[in-house]
Amino acid sequence: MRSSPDRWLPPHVSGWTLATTAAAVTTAAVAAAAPDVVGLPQIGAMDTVVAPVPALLAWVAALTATTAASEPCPEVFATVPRRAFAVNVARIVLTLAAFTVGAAAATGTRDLAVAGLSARTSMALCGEGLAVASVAGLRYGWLPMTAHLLAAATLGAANRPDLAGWAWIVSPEVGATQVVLSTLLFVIGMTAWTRRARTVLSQPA
Amino acid sequence: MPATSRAPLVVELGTGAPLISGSAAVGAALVLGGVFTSTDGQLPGWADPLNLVLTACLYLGPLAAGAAALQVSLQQASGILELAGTTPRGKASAIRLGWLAIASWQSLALLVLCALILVRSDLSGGFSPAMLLLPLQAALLVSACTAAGVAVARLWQHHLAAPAVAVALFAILYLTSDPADRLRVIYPEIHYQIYLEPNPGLLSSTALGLAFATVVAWTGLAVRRSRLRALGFVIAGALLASSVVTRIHTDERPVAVRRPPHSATCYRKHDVRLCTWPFPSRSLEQSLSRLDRMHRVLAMYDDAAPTDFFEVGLVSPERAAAYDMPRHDDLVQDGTEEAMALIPVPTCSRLAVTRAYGELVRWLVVESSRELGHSASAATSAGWVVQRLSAVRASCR
Repeated sequence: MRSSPDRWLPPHVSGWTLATTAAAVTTAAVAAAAPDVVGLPQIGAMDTVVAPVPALLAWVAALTATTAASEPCPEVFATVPRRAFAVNVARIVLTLAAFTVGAAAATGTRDLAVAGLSARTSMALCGEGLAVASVAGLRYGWLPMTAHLLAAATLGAANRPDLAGWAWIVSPEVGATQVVLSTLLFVIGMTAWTRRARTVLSQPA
Repeated sequence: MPATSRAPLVVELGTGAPLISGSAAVGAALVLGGVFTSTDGQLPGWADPLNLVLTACLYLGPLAAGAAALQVSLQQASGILELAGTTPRGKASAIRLGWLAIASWQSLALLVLCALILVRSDLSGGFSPAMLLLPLQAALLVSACTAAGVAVARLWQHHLAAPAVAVALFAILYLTSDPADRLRVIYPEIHYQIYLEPNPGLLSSTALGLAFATVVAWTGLAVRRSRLRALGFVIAGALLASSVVTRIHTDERPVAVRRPPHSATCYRKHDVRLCTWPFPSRSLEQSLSRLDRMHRVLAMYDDAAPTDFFEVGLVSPERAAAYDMPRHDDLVQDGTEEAMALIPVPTCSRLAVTRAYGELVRWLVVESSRELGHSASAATSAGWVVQRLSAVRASCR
């Protein structure tokens, strides 16, 4: 659809693949090479109560995934057959998966927790982003996820000895409730997004 | 009234990026302030909740900057800015209108958060006018952040400029929040005791610097020659303001001791008199009992043991001891503060003297927690206590 005669890449390697791979590799490499450089505040807490690297990695993953959900021609996209439509959904899921696999590969056997925590948080953030994007458009998708991450890291850990329960997206531990919540958020976001994209324009004018 | 005759700002407030980002910010403030954030573990009073509002700008400020950047980049992408450039009011006016709408929404979010945090906090611990500088600084910080968002979006026209400026500003605010940093504008690690308040000089000049940077950015928009020059104008203004601030307040801490009240409130139990700030704590009764018990133990060895105690920050008369009364209701106190008020503070900083002081404090805490009159070690330790007391009282030779 988007091929041009002077294309220098084979048709199955899209810009999305390149961008996602580059972003995932860069972020995972930074996370693996310098885990202490990347930091989120844990103001006033004595012990480690926030996991900055997975949280930031998840934010980048969710931002990339919502960016990957955009279509060059939303008006036309609303009319495409179901099979072509599945590609859009697959792109979102594959982007998140790429980041998780990238994190697992970068940290290796040393610390697989980074990949798990990142997957948990990125699913929740991506769900929030897509839910808002389905109402207001993809240009607003970054708002809820950034707000959630920054508020959790700021008010969830500020001036207290532990991490507040509601700030679980930056927590270094995973519980069953967190997994259920983030899965739920992801499912809600994806459902809202698919309904929106199938019926109305995916991006406002 | 037909819709077309509404004021431009009202239209801007109710559409597009200002409406969506603003309602998201207000919604987040309602949830965070109304349910999640609490000042439970902190001392009663206005300063700690208001400081939490300023700390909240660590997330509110970057999001405001992102929203402002989004507004400007949407204006640029849709061509509205070019259209406005052909009218007599010009591009700057169109940007300012959107900027004002974003800033109004974000200020409303800050106001909601501030009101909810205050409503849910224990404000019985006192108030001084300097504490109002904390929310003022928060409001000015949010407006300065929107200025940064507008400036970045004017220079970098990309749809990821908004999230990028949000995260970059968060990083800047977080990295400068270190207590050693002179350019910091938030003070997340500070707890305000009853005798402390925000430093009025430092906070008002920081607020002036933030306001100045915003005003410079506001007027800099109208500079028509080049955007680069306008940005240089903004950066120079901000640097000038911050350097003036840091030059004035080189080594000042963000907290200052409050001016003592005209009259202290005094309480008496047996021989002991305790005068506090006019905002009594629920733990007052326990503090008074501990002081009384310790005084009775120490009076057996020391005739000059103090009987008058004045809470820190009050003007205390001669021979009265300064007492840092624990005002946390939920913490179990072991009595160290009371023992430190009773044992005279050494004037000499030699190791032997400070060690004797520490031993005396620990001894008094342990001894007073036993039943009075059942102290087996009392007779044997009399000489030990008197010797250390004279060591603590002696001046360096």
